[in-house]
Amino acid sequence: MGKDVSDARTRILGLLRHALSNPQLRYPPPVAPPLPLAGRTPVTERSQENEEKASRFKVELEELHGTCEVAANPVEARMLAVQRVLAWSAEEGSLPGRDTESVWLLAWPEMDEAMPGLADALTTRGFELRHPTDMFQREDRSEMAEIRIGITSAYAAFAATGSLLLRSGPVHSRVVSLLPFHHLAVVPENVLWLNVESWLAHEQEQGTLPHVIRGCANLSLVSGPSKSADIESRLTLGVHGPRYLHVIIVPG
Amino acid sequence: MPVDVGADFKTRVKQAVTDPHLAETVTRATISLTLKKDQRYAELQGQRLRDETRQMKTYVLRHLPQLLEQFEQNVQMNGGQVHWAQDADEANRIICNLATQKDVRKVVKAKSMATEEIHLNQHLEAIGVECVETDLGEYIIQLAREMPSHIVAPVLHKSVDDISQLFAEKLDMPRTLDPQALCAKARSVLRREFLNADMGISGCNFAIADTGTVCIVTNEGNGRLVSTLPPIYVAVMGIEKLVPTVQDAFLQYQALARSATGQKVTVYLSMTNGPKQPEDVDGPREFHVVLLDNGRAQMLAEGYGEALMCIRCGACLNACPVYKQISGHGYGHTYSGPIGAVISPLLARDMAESKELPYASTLCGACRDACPVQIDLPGLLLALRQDLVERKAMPRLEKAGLRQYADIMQKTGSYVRMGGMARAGSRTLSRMSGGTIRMLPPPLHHWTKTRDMPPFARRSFRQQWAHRNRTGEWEKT
Repeated sequence: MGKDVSDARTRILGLLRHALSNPQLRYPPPVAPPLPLAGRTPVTERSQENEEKASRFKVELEELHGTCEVAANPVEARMLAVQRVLAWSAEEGSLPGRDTESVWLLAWPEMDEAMPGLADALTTRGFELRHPTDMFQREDRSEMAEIRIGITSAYAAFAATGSLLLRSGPVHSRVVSLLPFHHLAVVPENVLWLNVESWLAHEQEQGTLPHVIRGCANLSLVSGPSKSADIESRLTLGVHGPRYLHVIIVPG
Repeated sequence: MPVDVGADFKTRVKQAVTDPHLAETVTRATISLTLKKDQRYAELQGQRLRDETRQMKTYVLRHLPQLLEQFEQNVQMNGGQVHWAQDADEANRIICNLATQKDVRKVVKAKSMATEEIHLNQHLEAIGVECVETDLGEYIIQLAREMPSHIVAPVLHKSVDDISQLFAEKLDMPRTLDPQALCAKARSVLRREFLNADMGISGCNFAIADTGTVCIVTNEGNGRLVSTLPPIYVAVMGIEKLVPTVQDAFLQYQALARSATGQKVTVYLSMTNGPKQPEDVDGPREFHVVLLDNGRAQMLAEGYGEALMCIRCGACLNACPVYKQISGHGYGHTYSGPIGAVISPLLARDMAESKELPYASTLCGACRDACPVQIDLPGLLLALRQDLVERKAMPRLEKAGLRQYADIMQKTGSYVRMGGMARAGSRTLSRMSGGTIRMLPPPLHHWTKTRDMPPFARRSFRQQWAHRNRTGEWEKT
């Protein structure tokens, strides 16, 4: 089989090189310069005003059927997070848990980095934070899949499009923001950028962009709750991913 | 009556244009998509975005071999495996072998035009592997055993009532006209499939050569699920899908989201570099990329390289007056609309089977104006028509007829003589059927099979012009 595969590779690359060596080729032209990085049109910018990023993020996310609260201080942020979880679990009615005394939440470990004291505050209200361990254990997998509320932070967020950037890693499980019906994201204000281009430019300048992109198995840009317009172009929410996305922006 | 995609082109078109609802449903949906796209382009310097995307994609085409090698090396460095497939058979064999080796029973798929193009599901099912399409529209199509009729909106031709009836039959669901209820049902059925699948397969919207990253764009989240939950993740991509840098990926992402659905951003952009890292708690253990040629390199060699810059947004379908009338099924191939009319005959390498497609266009140019990469689709269609004629993929009679027509048009004497005959003949025929011509004699009767023909004017323009010069005024008709 190995031989076959390398043959296909040689044949394809050979055909392409041969085609491109034809000086009469209709397209592409013989000289095709790369698009320079500098001077590209800012595509996710809407206004030139120096808007407040947090309020812009809220406006954009709500346009995408998500919800957002901008906290005045870390204490208020924690209170808002707890209130949101309480409200969702009340809406949901019966929720999976170890017993009737506690309700399971799916969460990244080390959430306290993004919001100090959150885990304790939820535990005292009868929630138990579960962290995905090994998704290839059938039991763990089906248990995780039952949990209706997931809590994460974000690697970065972009105001102009109401987007979260999630970067996978040992303590940044992918399923927490994907399997539950409700996703709560706690976003420190210092990771909030005006738009994706300004963040890219920053990482490029620092020389960190290649590592940020490929130093993890997966990056996901998430902008609002899961949706579809496949049926008669009418909006439906929560097709496969979360039906509800709530973001709390925590001041630094 | 639904369009029978297995029938020949004329039958498909006839079925499509005589369907009482199809053109209306398709027209409504495509106009709404076009309006949303225009709005998204109006809020920024739209032409600049189109120019920049075109320049970036032209660079890719010119440097494709180098970029493919760079991409391959980076995927391997990230821990993924790269397979090359020159045609559909090779691609299907690679994926089927993988499935057999890993004892795969169930595959979950996110929307992918490339796997439709190679009919992967049929091949996997033939070796006993169950394939579940998870994009809501594709899932509906799979339940109904149909073909997608639009690149980004596969069930654009179906009403909510059609879908409810289907769910009632296949999923035992009570009838409803609420799309949200249908969506919730699909969510619960498909969630079980995701959790039990042994392999996830998706296409690829674009892949970054610089970092070895495969990017898929969805609104539903099925792209994230197929690339996260199953232990093996396979991405099947055409060799033209590369972009050089991370910044270029976000540029194409913008062009795609705005052109395809009129969104500033889609809900999800999933970027996969490789399998899960050793300490990660989730993500696939294996990551495979299948690089598919299937006629693309040949397309470039034959001068149709511009069509390889297509980003599969579907904007040209939405703009096309022919697509609105015959829908995706009228084209009868995986890729429909103006771009499908160009690439279907070239990908299939079977000109005879799709020789009508380059003629399924009025050459009005709306597709070129809608295209975010400004591909000269009318120009490519004309070139294809010429190729088809040169390859004799045209009936001899039609060819002889056209040659004669060209002779007549080029000589004044024969032009005047034939004009006189046409005037006399057509007026006689029209008198016989009360004003318009209902039936022309063979071989011209094909023209009047589906439409009437008005008779020629009583006097030719040359005669009228001569009269005006003689008398100073136009003849009264």
